[in-house]
Amino acid sequence: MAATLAAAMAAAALAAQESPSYTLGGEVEARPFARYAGSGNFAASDLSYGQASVLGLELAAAGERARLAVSTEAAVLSGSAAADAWAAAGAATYAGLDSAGLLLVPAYSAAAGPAAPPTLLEARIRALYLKLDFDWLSLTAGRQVVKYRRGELWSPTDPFTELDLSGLSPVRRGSDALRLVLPLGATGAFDLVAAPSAGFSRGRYAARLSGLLSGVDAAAIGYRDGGAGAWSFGTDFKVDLGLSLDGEALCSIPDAGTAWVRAACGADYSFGDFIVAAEYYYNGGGATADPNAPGSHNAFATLSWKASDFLAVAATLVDGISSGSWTAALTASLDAAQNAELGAYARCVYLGTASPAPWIAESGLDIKVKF
Amino acid sequence: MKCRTIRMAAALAAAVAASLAAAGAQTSPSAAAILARLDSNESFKSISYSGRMEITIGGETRYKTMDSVAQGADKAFTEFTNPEDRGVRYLKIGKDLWIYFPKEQDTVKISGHLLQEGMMGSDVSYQDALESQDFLAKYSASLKGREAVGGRDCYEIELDAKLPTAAYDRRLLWIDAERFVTLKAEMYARSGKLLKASATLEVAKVGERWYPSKVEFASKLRADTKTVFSMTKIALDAPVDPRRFTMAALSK
Repeated sequence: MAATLAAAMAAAALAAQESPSYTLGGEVEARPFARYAGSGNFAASDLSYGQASVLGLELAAAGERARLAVSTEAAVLSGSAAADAWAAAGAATYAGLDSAGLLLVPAYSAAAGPAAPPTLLEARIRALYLKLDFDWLSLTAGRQVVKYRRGELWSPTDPFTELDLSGLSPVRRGSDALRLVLPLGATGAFDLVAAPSAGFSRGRYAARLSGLLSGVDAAAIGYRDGGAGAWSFGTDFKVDLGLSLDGEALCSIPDAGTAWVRAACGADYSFGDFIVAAEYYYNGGGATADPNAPGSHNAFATLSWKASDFLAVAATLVDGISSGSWTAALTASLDAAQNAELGAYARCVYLGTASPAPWIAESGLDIKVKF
Repeated sequence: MKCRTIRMAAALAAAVAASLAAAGAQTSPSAAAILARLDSNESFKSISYSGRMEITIGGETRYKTMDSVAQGADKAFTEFTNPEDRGVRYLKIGKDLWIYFPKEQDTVKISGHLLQEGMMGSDVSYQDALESQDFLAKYSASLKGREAVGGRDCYEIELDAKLPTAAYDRRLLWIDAERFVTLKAEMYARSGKLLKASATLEVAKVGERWYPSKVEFASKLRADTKTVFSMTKIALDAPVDPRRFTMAALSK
């Protein structure tokens, strides 16, 4: 963190020497929701209410060769939203600022028990990085999103981006990393990323070669995950054949034990005012390889309908075929005014027979204003 | 999420304005000669400008602002500056189009089947923006006659597609007989159905040339919609750094 701040200050100083342009923007978001969580037998105690009020700020200073970007998010959480954050903190066994850059006030304490305070302040640094651009290379240091995804939901060849599925749509969290990119022509790149974590031996280190070949976006990646003690090698592609197709495959070879494979493939297509997309994901590594989708076979499908020029409706299903869990969601998004969006959603989650309270039903609003 | 992606737009304005507001003409000569004259007026080696897109749908208006640079008809780079889309960038190289989302630091290649969608919810499709300006290569041209548009004498040119890669099967252009800018255009499907129309609202003098600086587009497939695209700070044929049209520039 200290290194990131130092880099940021250095960037600010550098950018100041180059008469940079500054931009400051952000968004205010309110997400009230009601929830049922239980065994399927309804009781008043199974119902709850929660709300998250979020302020996001983004600052960028860009000169000819340097760019500083800061993106932060602070949320006031109450009711079930606070309980979710408290439970997540307990599961992560962290106190204060953790590796994901999350700050909880009051800080989580196991001694305080599982009951969350009625209100929590949650703050996160989404990005804080300095980027230096030269003609033949760029260097980015700090918290950043290194995203190698092809698919909409699952990306086995993406080792640096944590997938957060707690919100209405998947959010990919950044990581503290040092990234070196050597452009190869207009559309290609050789990419080196190091995320040393707490110690060099436990960090992640990747090399990736990507480019556009005969209309196919393709890449090959190799990386070392010191924390997991494994080497991984993979490839991914995206191609348009009227139908858009993408695929990823990764083979992980642990220092001890048996190698495993993860692979995903997807397609999307539009007809009239509808867009349909589907993905299949095979996870041969279980929960160790991907805690979000521990089962071997997983599927995702979505159907979007542009109901009017300002209103879009989408139905989504995520099915953990092997684990027996699934999530179904219906969302509506209204372009309510200039820079203002109104969303509404309803979703149903089934956690599987192993859970004592396997059913979750939730409905809420998402009101967002950007500035 | 995908819908939002689709609606995100590139005002690859050079391509848009030049493409929909097309082709040039000269008095009495053949349609080809008129188009050649138009090209000499409206075509460019490079263009840069600040743009504003006002999208009106059923009385509701949204605006997008952007800075764009383009080289010929094949390369364009646009960065949006309005609050909702600030920092979103578009890169067009030939027939390929990528979008960069700054908050997610994510670059997405636009799927081919989405290229017919309106950019940023506008009446201008990705396909419109990506089409080459070279009408003579893709269309057979004929002079239909002369007609006044907004009180100005115009040549009426009909273009019929001769290549399957043409974005429309038939186009009608009304070209100012004095300034050789397109004042009005209509685009038709093979069935004869009117798909899209444009009207030039303002023409600017850039150096020695006349250039359409404010154009209204209307998709005839959508009810009660229009998009007004205006350009300021227009610079034609100024030197452009070729590194602007690379994937590296998208995430710079």
